[in-house]
Parts: sequence; C-alpha cells; structure tokens
Amino acid sequence: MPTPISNNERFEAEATPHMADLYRTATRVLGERSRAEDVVQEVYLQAWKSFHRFEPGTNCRAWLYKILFHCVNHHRRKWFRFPLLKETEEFLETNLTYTEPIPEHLTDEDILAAMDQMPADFRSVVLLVDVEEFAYKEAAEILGIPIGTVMSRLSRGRKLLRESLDEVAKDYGVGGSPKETKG
Amino acid sequence: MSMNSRLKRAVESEPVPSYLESRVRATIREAELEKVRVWWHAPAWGLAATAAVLMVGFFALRRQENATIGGLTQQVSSFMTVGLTDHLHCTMMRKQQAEPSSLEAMKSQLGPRYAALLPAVESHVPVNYRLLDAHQCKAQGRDFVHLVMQQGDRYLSVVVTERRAGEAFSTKNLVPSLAQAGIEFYQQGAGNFQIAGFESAQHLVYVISELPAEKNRQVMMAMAGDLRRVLPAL
Repeated sequence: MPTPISNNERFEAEATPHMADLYRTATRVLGERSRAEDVVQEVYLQAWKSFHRFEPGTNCRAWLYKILFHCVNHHRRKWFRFPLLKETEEFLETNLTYTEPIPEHLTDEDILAAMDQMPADFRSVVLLVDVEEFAYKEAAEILGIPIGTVMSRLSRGRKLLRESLDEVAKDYGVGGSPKETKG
Repeated sequence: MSMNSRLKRAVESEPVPSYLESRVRATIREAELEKVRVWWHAPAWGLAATAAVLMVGFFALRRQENATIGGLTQQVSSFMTVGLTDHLHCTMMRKQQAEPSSLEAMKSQLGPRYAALLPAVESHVPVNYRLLDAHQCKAQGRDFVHLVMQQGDRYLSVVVTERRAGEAFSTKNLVPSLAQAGIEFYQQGAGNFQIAGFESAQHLVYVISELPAEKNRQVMMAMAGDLRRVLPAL
C-alpha cells in the first residue's frame, strides 16, 4: 500500500526548490535584498498556510509567483510611492526609441542596473517572461492583468532595457548603436 | 547570446543568502508551533464548551446505546496525548541543541536504570534521522524517558513512561491499529503529529513524529521488539 504523503512533505518537495528564483525576482522587483528576504519569507508562510488549497499536479512555481506579486504589491503600497502606470505609459508613448540588442561586452551588473531603472510594472513582466520563462498567460495570471497588457508591457520593457544598455555601452566608448527616434 | 539569455544570466548572478532557507523554515516552524500551542493550551471557555458537549453526549449515549463512537474518540485522544505531552514539552517548546550529545553523555543522562534503552533505539534510527539526545524528564507531573531523533527541523521522539494503576491502552477501549509478534500497536494523529504506541507490563511506549502515519508506525514497529526485550529489566 503506498505511503500517504503529508502536506508538509508535499510542501517541502514542491515549494522549497523555487526559493532561490523567488528571491532573485523579489530582489529585482523591490530593488533591495533585505526586503526581498522579508517578502520571500512572507510568501512561503502564506503558501504553507494555504497549501491545502493548492491542487496537486498544477504549477506550484506559478502559484508561488502569484503569491509573491500579491505580497510585493502589498509592500509597494507600504514602502514606495511608485508613479501610476498610466503616467508611465503615457511618458513612454512619447519617449520610446528603438535600439539594437544588448552589446556583448556589458557586464551582468550593467544589465541589472539597467533593469532596476525600469518602471516596476514593466520590470515585473520582463522578469517573469524573459527571465523566469513563464508563458504570457501564466504571467497574466500571476500579475492579475490581461494578457494584452503583459505583451504590451513586455515589448515596452524590452525596448526600454535595450535603450538603457545602449547608453551604458556608449558611455564605455566601446559600442552602442545609433538611435532612431520613434515615429 | 540572446537578450533573454543575458538577462537570465545577469539575474541568476544574484547570490541567494545561505541563511534564507533556514529563515523561511524557522518561520513556518513557528507558525506550526503556534497552531500546536493554540491546540494544546485550549482556552478555558473551550474546555467548558467541550465539557458541555461531552455531558450532552453522555445523556445522548444513555438513550442510544449504540452511539458510542464520539466518546471513544475522545478517550483515544486523551490517552495518546500522554506521550505527545513530553514530545511537545522537550522538542517543541524548548530550543534544541544544535549538535548531538555523545553516546556517553546520553547514557549518563539516562542513568543506569534506563541506559539499556539507548542501544535498543539507536539501532533503529530511521534513515536520514540522527539520534540527538536521550534523557529523563518530567512533563505535567509525569516522569518520562525520552530519546530524541532529528532530521533538519523535524524531531522524532521515543517516549517511555511507567504505567500508572489501571492505565492500559486496552482498558481505554482503544482498538489496536495493528498487531505484530504479539505486540498490539495503537495509533493516533494530533495536529501535524502522529503518535504510535504500545504497552508492556510496566510501561507505555510512544513514538511521536511529523512523519506520515504509516512511516511513524513503521518506526515504532521496527524498534518495538528490542524495546520489549529491554523494558522488563527497567
């Protein structure tokens, strides 16, 4: 007769392996390691408390990310005064530029610094889709936004990132691509 | 390298603090303990309500002789929690030592009377667990001999206590969950804990852990034979 697995064992096996990914995402989204640690701790506590509601066989990683962004949004309201997305989008609509892909010589630190400068809503989508490789639909569910918004933020986020990195490359004097003003 | 790969590599270069996992586990552990404390230190009104329910149940049982299951369940819980009391007292409510005591220290703490329990238990420590400590202790006015095993943040206790007059699993109307080699095993879950127990002529023996019920019972069954041989000499 198969041995029944306790909820705690299932939690250990399914949730714990994603802790490092969650921490890294939280660090990038919140921009501060100590806050990321607090949030990851909170995510796992909430996940443990509600693990009985998690359906075996479904995507535990996506479920944890959903809790993560729920916690992040809660803390953002407490810790930060972020500009409203609408304002950000309007700003970008009038300032977007096209740049070439990331120059090879840039360091990880350069890339992270550029990512940290992105508006938080765009950064979240880029992290989920490009770094954590969630599908658009999964990212939309995790963030609680329409799939179209995910695609639009991703596109704008990527462009912003490229633009920012291009500036860094030009500062080094070893590359950078010519800018082309949109429109 | 593609933009996605560069991003991924950059984000993954962020070091994860080595203490994060244990910090998270400790938080969960604390929440788990809180649940146990709430359950263990039931408020007075809760006890009063339970007593009232039992009284109502008692009169209902008088009228319906066959409806005895609720009362039996109550008795099972109260009797099996004898061992759980000590487990909670020593492993959950108190900070545990980080490193195992030496066998010599454990023998000394058990004293000559109970030292023979050590090899009987030591040879059946479950895979991935280690024998952390062995001692005599007292909880809620009762003396116990307690052998503690550990796997990370989880503890498994083998608890032995002398039977008091009239105390026996069989007189508590419990039904053994399994019998093997003439030993009847009793089993009960309480919160996240599983309690398995058997009795000898003079002692009650419990294995308490957070393992699944079946695994917890297997641990008890594995060591029951050796314990049974040792117990009459204690």
